[in-house]
Amino acid sequence: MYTKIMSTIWISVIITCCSSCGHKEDGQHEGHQTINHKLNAKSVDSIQYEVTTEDYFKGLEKVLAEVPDQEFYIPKRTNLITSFPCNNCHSKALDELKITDAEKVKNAHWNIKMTHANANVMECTTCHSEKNVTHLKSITGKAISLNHSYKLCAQCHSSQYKDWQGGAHGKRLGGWAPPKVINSCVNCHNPHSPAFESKWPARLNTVKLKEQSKD
Amino acid sequence: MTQIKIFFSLMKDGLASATTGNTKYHIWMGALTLFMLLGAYCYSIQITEGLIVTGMSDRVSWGLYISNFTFLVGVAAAAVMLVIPTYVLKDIDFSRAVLIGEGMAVAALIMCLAFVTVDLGGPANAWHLIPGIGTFNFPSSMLSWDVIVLNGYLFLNITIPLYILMKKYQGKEPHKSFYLPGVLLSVFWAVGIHMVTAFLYAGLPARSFWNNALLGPRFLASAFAAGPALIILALQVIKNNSSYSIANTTIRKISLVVTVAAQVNLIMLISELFKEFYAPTHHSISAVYLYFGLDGKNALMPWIYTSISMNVIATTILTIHLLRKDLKWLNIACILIFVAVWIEKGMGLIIPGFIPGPWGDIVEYAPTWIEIGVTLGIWAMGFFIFSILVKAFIPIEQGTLRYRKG
Amino acid sequence: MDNTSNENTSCGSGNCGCGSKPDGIDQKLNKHTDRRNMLKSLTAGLLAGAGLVNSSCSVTASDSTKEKKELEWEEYFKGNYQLMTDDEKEGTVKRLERLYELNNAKHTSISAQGPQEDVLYGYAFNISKCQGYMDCVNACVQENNQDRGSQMQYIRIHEHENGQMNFDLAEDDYFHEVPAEGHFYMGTQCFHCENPPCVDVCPVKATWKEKDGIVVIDYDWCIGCRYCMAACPYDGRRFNWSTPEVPEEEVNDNQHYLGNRLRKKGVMEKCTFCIQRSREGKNPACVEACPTGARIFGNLLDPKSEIRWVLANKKVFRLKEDLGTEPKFWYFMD
Repeated sequence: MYTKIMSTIWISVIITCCSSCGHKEDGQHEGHQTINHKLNAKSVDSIQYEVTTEDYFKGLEKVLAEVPDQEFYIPKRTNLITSFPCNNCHSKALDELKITDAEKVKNAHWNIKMTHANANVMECTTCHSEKNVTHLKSITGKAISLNHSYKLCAQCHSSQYKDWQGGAHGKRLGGWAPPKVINSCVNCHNPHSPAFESKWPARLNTVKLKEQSKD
Repeated sequence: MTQIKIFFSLMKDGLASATTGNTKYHIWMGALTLFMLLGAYCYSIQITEGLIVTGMSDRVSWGLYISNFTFLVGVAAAAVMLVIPTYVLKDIDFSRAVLIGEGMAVAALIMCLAFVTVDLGGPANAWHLIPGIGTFNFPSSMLSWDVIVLNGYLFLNITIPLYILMKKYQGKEPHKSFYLPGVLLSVFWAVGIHMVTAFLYAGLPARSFWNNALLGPRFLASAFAAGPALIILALQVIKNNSSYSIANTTIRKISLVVTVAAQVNLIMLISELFKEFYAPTHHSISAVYLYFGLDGKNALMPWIYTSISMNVIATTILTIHLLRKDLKWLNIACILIFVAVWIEKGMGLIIPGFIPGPWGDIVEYAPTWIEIGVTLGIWAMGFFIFSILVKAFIPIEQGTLRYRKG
Repeated sequence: MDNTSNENTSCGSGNCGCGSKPDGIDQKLNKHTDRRNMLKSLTAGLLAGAGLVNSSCSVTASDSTKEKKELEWEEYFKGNYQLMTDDEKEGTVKRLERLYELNNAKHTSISAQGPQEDVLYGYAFNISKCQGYMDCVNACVQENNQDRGSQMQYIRIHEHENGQMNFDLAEDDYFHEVPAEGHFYMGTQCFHCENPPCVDVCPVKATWKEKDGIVVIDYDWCIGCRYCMAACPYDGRRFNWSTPEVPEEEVNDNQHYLGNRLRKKGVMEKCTFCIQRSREGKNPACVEACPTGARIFGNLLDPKSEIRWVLANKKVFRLKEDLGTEPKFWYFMD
C-alpha cells in the first residue's frame, strides 16, 4: 500500500521535473553561447539599413576623407575658418608683411600659443607654408588641403591615425547608421595646443548614495 | 450537499470558539489587533510615499521584509518534522501536536506571502504573477517557483487538517488512504519550499555571499531547529492556557529534532566560516563585512555575534541530556535558537549579500520605523491567525465540539 | 487553407487570440467579446458612482475626468508589451499620449518602433580616453527623463588610481578637477548582456532582451520585486523608490515605450542604449555628449562598423566575464 503510494508520488515528481526542464529548450532561450560565436554566425556583409542619419547633417558641409580602405566623411574645414582664404591678408611675402617693433601694437595671430611638442620639433612653418599660404604642407614640402589636415597629423601620430580610420579614435557624428561622418583631428583638438585641458566635471557623481551612507 | 452544510457549520462553530475566551485571551487578541492596525497604518504611508520610507536603497535593495520572509518559510517548512512521525511512522505521541504544527505552517505561510507583497513596489500589479492571466516566468525564475511551492504548500496545509477536522467534527475516524498521499506529498513539499527559497538566493552568481551550494541545506537545518523550537514553546503556552493536554514525551521528542538540526546547523556554519576565511578571496568580502566590518562600517557585527553565541549556547544546552530534559532549560534553548536563526536568516544573510555593492561601495542598511511597524503588523497577523486556528480546533480535537444535525 | 482564411477574417481586432497569444486579462475577459467594449462597460459601471459626484460640480470637468479614468482603467488591464500585437502596441501608446496630454496639457510622442533586421547593438569604452568629465551623465539624465529628486543616474564613472583596477578602491564620488594626476576613469552602466541574469529571474517577464540586443523593461508590467536588481552583477538597474520628479520644462518629449517615457514609483528602470535614439539610427546620448570620443556605439553584425573594428584590432576586455553574462560592452585602451 505505502510503497504503491510512494512510487506514485516519486513518479509524479520526476515527471514534473522533466516536463519543466523541457520547457526551457523550446522557449526563446538560445542557451549559453558566446557573443563572438554569434558575431561570426550572424554577421551580414552589406546591410541595407532602414534608418539613416542624413537629416542630422542638413546644415553640415562634408567632404569624403581621402584614406585607403575606408569610406567616410569629415566636416568641411575651409568654410569654418573666418579669414579663409588666407591670401586675403597674405597677399605679399611674409617678410614684407612684417611690421617693425616701433609701430607694433599687436602681432597678427597673437592669440595663438604653441603647446604642441617642443620648439625643436614644431614651429609655425612645420605645418604652414610660407609660399602656399592657403594650404598646409607636409614634412617633405607637399601641399595638403586644410580640409584634409589629418594627413598632416598622420605624419607623426601614425597609431592615432590608424585608430581614427578604423573608428577607435575620434568621434562619429550623428549616429551609428549611415552615412558615416567622423570628426577630423582638428574638430576636437586645437592643432596649436592639442591636449585636452583639465576641468571640473559636469556634475557630482552619486550625491544621494553618499548622503545615505553617511547617516 | 451535506458536506457543504457540515463545512459551514464547522466554520461557524470554529469562529464562535475562536471569539470566546477568558479575559487574558481577549487582551492578547486585542493587542494583536492593535499591532495589525499599526502595521496597516505604516503600510498606508508606504503605499502613498513609495518604498523610499523604508531603509532600503539601490545598494541594499532587500531588507527587513525579505529577511522575515526567508525566515518564515523555514518556520512553515518545519511543520513537516511533526507530520512524518505522526502520519507515516504512526507515532501517536506527535499526533496531538501535529495539527498545531500545521496551523503554525498556515500562519507562517500567510505571513510569508504578506511580507513578499509589502516588499513589492507595485502591489497593484501583483496579478501579473497569476498564471493564466499574467505572464508567469516559469521555470526560469526561481521566484515563480517560490510562488508555486508556497501557494501549493498553503493549499496542502489547509486541506489536510481541514479534512481531518471535518471527520472528527462528525465524530468519525479520518480515512488514512484519503489523507496519507497528501501528507506524503507535503513532506516533500516542505523540503521543497525551503530549498526553492534558498535557490532564490543561491542562483545569483552576482552575489557571491549567497552563491554557494551549502545555502539550501543550511536553510533546512536552521529551519528544522527554529520551527520546532517555536512549536515547543507554543505547545506549552497552549497546555498552560487550555484544557488541551500534551504529553511531555511529545515535547521531548520534538526537542530531539531541534537538537539534531541545531548541531548540523553549527557544523555547516563552521564549514562556511572555514571556506570564507581560510583563504579569503574577493568573494569573501561580504563575509568579511559581516564578521569584521569594512572601512569602519560594521553595523551587522553585533547582530551576527549575538546570533552565533545564542546558537552555540542553545546547542550546548540541547546537547546535554540533563539540561534538555529540564523544561526550563529547554525553553531557554528554544528561545535562543529561535532568535539566533531569525537573525542568521535575516540580518545575517540577506543584508550582507548586498554589501559591498557590485562596484565595491558600502552603503549600510538599517530598517526605518515604518518598516518595523509593517513587520510588527504582519507578525501580529501571524499570531492572530495561529491563535484563531488553535482555538478553533482544540475543542474539535478534544471532542467537545461536534456537529449537530438540524 | 481554410484555416488561414478564417484567421484573416476573424483577426480584425488583433486581440481575439487566434493571431497571437492573448495576454494579460484578455485571456480571461476576452473569450468572445471585444475587449474595448467589455472594458468600457466595466468602466461605465464603475464611473456611474464616481460620476455622480463629479457631474454635480461641473459638466466639462467630468468629461475629461471620465476620459482619464477610462484610459487609466484600460491601461491597468493591458497585457505584457512583449506579447502585444502591433495594434495593441499602438493602442497603448495612444492612450499614454492622451493621458499625458490630459494631465499636463502638453503633447508628447511615444514611439513603439521595433528592432531592425541584422542589427545587434554593441558598445566600446576607451579607458585611455575618458577624462572623467561626466558630460555623459548629464546628457543621460536629461535624455532619459530620470528622477531628479533622487538624482538617479544610469552611468557611474569610477576613478581608478594608476597601477590597479580594483573597483573596491575606486573613487566614485570624486569632485575635483579632472583628469586627476595619476588616475584613469572607467564608466559603467547596463552592459546589455547576451545572457542577462536579470531577465532570467524576473517572475513576470517584465524585462527581456530585444532582437537587437537591448535589454528593456515594460514599466507597466513590472511589479517592483527588485529580484533583477539583486541578480545584476554590474549595478545596471535602478529602482524608483519614490515618485520620479522631472521638471515639466525639462521633459524630453521624444519618447519610446520601452525607453525614456515617464516612469512611476515602484518600478525598475535602466539604460536602454537610448532606445528612442538608437532605433532611429542615432547614437545614445552618452556617446553624443562625450567630448573625448571615449564611447563607441554601433552594429555588431556589420563587419564594417567601428565597434567591429575595435573588437578586431584593439585588445578588449569585459568586466566579470567569469560570470558568463556575455556583456555587449567592451573596454579597450589606445
